[in-house]
Amino acid sequence: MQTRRRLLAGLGGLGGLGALSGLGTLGARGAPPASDRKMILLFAEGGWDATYALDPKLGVQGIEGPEVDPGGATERVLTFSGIPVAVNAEVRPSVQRFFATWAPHSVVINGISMGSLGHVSCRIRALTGTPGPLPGPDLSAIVGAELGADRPVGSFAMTGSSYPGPLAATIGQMGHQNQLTALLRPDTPVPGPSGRVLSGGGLDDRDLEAILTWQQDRLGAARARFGPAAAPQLDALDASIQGAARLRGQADLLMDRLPPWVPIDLLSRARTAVTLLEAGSCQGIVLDSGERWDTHTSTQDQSTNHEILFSTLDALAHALSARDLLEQTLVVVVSEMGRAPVRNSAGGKDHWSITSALLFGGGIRGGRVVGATGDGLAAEPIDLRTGEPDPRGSILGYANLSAGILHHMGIDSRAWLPDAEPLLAL
Amino acid sequence: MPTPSTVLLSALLGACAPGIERDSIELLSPVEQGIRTSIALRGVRPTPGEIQRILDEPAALPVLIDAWLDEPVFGEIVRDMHDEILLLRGDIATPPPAMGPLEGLTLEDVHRATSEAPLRLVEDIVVHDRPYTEILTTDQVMTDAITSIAWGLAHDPEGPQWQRTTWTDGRPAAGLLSSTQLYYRWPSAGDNLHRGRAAMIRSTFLCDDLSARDVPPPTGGLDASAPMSEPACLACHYDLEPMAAALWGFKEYLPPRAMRLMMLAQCDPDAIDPDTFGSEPRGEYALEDLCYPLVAYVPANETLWAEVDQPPPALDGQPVEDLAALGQRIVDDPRFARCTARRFAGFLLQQPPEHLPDDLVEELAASFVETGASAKELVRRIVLSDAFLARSGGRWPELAGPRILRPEAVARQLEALTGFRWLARTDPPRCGLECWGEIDLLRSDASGFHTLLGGFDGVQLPHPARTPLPSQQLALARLAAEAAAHGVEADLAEADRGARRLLTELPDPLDADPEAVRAQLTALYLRILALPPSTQEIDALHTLYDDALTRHPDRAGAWRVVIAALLMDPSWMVF
Repeated sequence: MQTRRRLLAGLGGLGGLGALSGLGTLGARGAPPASDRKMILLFAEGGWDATYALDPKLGVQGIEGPEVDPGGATERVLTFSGIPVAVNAEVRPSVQRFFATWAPHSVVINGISMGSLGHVSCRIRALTGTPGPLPGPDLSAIVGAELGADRPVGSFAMTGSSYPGPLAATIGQMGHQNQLTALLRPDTPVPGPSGRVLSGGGLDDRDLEAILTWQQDRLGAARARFGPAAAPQLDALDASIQGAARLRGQADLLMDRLPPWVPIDLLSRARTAVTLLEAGSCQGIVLDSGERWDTHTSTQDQSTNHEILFSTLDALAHALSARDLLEQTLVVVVSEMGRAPVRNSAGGKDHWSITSALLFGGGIRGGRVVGATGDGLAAEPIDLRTGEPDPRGSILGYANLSAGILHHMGIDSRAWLPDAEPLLAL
Repeated sequence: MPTPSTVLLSALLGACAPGIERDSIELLSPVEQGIRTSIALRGVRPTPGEIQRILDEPAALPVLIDAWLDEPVFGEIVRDMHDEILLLRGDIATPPPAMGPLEGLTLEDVHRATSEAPLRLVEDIVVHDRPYTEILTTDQVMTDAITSIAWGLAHDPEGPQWQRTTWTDGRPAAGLLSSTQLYYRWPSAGDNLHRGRAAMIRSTFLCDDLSARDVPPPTGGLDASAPMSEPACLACHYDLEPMAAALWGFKEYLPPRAMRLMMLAQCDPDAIDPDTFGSEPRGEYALEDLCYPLVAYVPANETLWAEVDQPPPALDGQPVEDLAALGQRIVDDPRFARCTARRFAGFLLQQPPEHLPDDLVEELAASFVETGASAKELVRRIVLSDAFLARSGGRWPELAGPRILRPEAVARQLEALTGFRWLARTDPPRCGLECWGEIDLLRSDASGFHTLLGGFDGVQLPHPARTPLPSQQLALARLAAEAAAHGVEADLAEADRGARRLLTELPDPLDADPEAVRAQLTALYLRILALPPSTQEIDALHTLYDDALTRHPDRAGAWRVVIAALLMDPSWMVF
């Protein structure tokens, strides 16, 4: 039985979750492999245009990149430690600044086939490596469960949502406006009806302790009533109760940095992510860039968004480096799709099923580009072992990339993505 | 009209007889069957009186189910179910502005009205037991005071809040497929040419989800003919383009930002820079269309598909004349009945529809067709099936096992038990036109706890959580505390025991008489969990009460602790 203090303050890690039936692969193999590797999974929602940075196509016939936008005359392609990047010192200076410093730690992945053109279906593919419709766990959740058994929380979803799949009990889901932090202490003042402030119904920590002890004891009654067939559901319920206790234990770290219903910019979220990793609160974190990348009616926002994103990535890399976390922390920057090679009738760009990704830190061998697109922004086949273009190779799919990332993290990708041949070139 | 339910029930009653093991199936006890069914159909547990009736009459459940299906709250459940299908309620997308003739309302008011209108149509059809196929064929639309202004529909201010009416702008009669809100929620951007909408319709009503198929990567380049010439595109687009062709009467999109700008300019197109809007939709179009009442449908645009080199309207190679004919063709398609059975069963069994066994779906679909497409009969058949009532085993053992309360059921039960609704204003200061006003935190994704409680936001999260989340426990703990406090405070202020919700056994709510306290603990257990308690269970609850009394000698606090604990009881969360 849980002790009262453990229930309230969540002193334990995820170690006990191996018994949870949903975590079959973990339970089957016992303790997850020892590793210091952590992950930040940063998602650019809406579909970025890779020709604005990661997959430069300046002057390539049949492809309209940033050079068509106002100010396009100053577009250039520069190579940083072997990585060619589309830069514009006027409208996207942070792209150049980022690669000037961090290219040796970075790998650009081009020519990723997402296998779909819808936002939700591609989002699921990009974050989980699975096609859906019911998403499996996202990569950060897997990293949290596999490598973060001693952490209070496997993965924090600092966006509105995540895809926890069977790993739900290991996830700290913050909500679109950090609503979670309103719930971490029993008496945090929160808004109520007609402008009133609610403060926990007059119940304090000791009351909560008593209630949680009652809840834990009563799990036995539910098990007896529903019988053995209900074990998976009730184990999962038990795990979620334990997960809640561990989240309560993170209140001090979270409440000041992510107050509920207060707008928090990407940079502040990124800094909080570093703090949480440094404190050992979690092993993985999902962030959302917060910008709208779905530019159907105008492409200029792609430059603006790239500037905001790379400005934050530069700060994030500096923060990780300053804390000696960069080599341990793989930052995976993905978007669910790319943009079409040419503009549509409205002057924007529609969806394209080929996209790019940026990986840095995490002990990755940097200064490389893996995969490629051809003149029509079609994906070129590659050798999945080396990442080199190979006419006899395969098109790099989203599942290959996800499996490759797990492999790089020291996780057996076959346990999570059994049908995906991993990209071993990371 | 539907076959009398008695025919169906007589075939099913054997399977439902309590305590009978058949084909290795173990059914829930009669009380547990009542709890599961009541929550599925009403979102709340049975009352103590209903529990007593189930205990007294083992065959009472089918009779109770008939009564529950006639309760107004069943209509709310139908709306919940169809929001899980249509994904309309999520508030992380921008609603139409509360401006112009809707000035003075909040974004929440406008969002709730507009997103609920299509769901109200389905509710109206189901609760009146009209053929469910009408959801894609009726000329009816439901409107309230807000949507009547937003969409230019007739509405009698002296009549009920939601009223039946019809579109008067020439759009074909195709039920949900004629809904302005459906296309507001699912815009067609850029050169999508309504294909995304067609994919949504195909997935929603025929369960043919093209997005779950991996399409091969493009071989390069892009031109207007690519979707029908690129091998990678052809497979899906052969299905999509002809369906999309039936949708051209609808505007490709109704951008809320442009609507706001036009309304700020008092609907004077000369007062604003047209470039502010970005691109304009194809076809006949005026900026004034973006003011209330919105002009969402233009009959003259119905044949625009030809001007953009698209094929004529059809479904799977069979030509259709217009949107109304497309709706009729969809409901005539055998996949519609199977899809309906799959979606209803998925919702009621709280299982992913995609994962339901085909033989179960086929049986339900056949009965759905036999009953003249009666959704009520379909629901009745599902909740009386072995699949629904099994504790373990049976033909579909993977469907047995307890379910977790949905956020909507949490909200309904808390309100029914304590009167508590967590309404709140979470807008930042100076929110201006972006103010949402007071929202229901249990139903809001953007600002509330809906997704934290396992709900879906319809945009980033298209499905409800199937596994309990830690955030669910945190939200429930806070909700339980606030609801308990609300309920106790209200009962303390009520001298009449009969008018109280929870503290009904104490002449004075703060009475210390041991017998009265024990009776109250027993009543609370039965009222909140709907389970007859054992002596040991009441003893344990009494210990909790006594312990709380040491910290709350005023007794009100002790009752708050007891009620909050029962609301956190695993037997309350699962059913």
